[in-house]
Amino acid sequence: MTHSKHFEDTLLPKIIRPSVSNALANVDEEFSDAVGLKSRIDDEHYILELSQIYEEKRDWLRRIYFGEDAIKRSVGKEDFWLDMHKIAAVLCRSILACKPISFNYKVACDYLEKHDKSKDINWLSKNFLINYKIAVDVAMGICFYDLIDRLGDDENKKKIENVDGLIKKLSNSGRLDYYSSPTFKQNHSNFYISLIEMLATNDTHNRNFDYLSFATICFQLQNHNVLEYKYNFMLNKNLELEKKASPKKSKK
Amino acid sequence: MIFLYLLIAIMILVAIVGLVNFLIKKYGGSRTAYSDNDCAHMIEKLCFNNHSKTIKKCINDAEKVAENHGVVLNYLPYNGEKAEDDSL
Repeated sequence: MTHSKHFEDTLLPKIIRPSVSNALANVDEEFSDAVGLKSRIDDEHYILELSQIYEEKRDWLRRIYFGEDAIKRSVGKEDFWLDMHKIAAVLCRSILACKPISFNYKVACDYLEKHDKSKDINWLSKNFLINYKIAVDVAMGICFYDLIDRLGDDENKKKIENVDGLIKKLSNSGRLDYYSSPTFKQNHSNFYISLIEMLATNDTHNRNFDYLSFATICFQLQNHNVLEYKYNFMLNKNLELEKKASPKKSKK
Repeated sequence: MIFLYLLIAIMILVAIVGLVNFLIKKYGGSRTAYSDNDCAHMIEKLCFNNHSKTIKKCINDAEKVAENHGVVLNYLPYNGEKAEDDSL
């Protein structure tokens, strides 16, 4: 069996590989050596397994949404596809089912205790919870591309003032902007880490993955990016107007 | 003999509980207009909004949008950089 062309051509090089490489680049080397951390991303069997899980779960969700015959009905038509928020949720779930990074969890638990790392959530999110970080990153990668795609629509160009600026901002940062937490500075995980915590807690307690809630989070994050840009754009515009107006006031 | 009476009494009690349960479910137990099964059946028949794009087309189109704006798209996952956290 082989995996589908779009998985190999698009998802793997554009979203999954960059997410895994980025996560590996940020792992604590001492931890990595101690627990025998290994990436499975170059293993053909792993890719095949991941793509099969992804397609199985995607088609299952399509059948739930559009009926048992959705897959038959979509052949040759641009119809009955899941929206990108749900695709993001499906890919996230697939990563959880087929984790790209393997390491000795028992040794890792001992390492956390020995090095007093079990409460350092920033460190944990990059090391012990690396698979969950990758799951969040792949989902948000899809949301990133989806948002830029939709910003290119003529309708959205009319709705958002200076949409070109937003496209350039997103392209330059290479990702979506996560919510900042101005009111929760101390002892509170930020939005990004909260997502990792949520996935890890649900996974380890064998709770069912909630595709639709995760898709809603994706929707909200995209909207946050657009609204924050609009807000900052308006703010800058008002500041410029005030600057222009102020010399006149001083002359008076 | 006493066991027979006891058995009959238990059977009558079970029958009453069953009847009351049935009546509650049928006439006043549900807060919605439909019983749970009817509701699930209705939801299954609903038509949700569908999307007319595959992930491959979405990514290709996003790259074209960026290209039209003179930029190249390269996804860079977040690593907890401080500047972004304090963006507001």
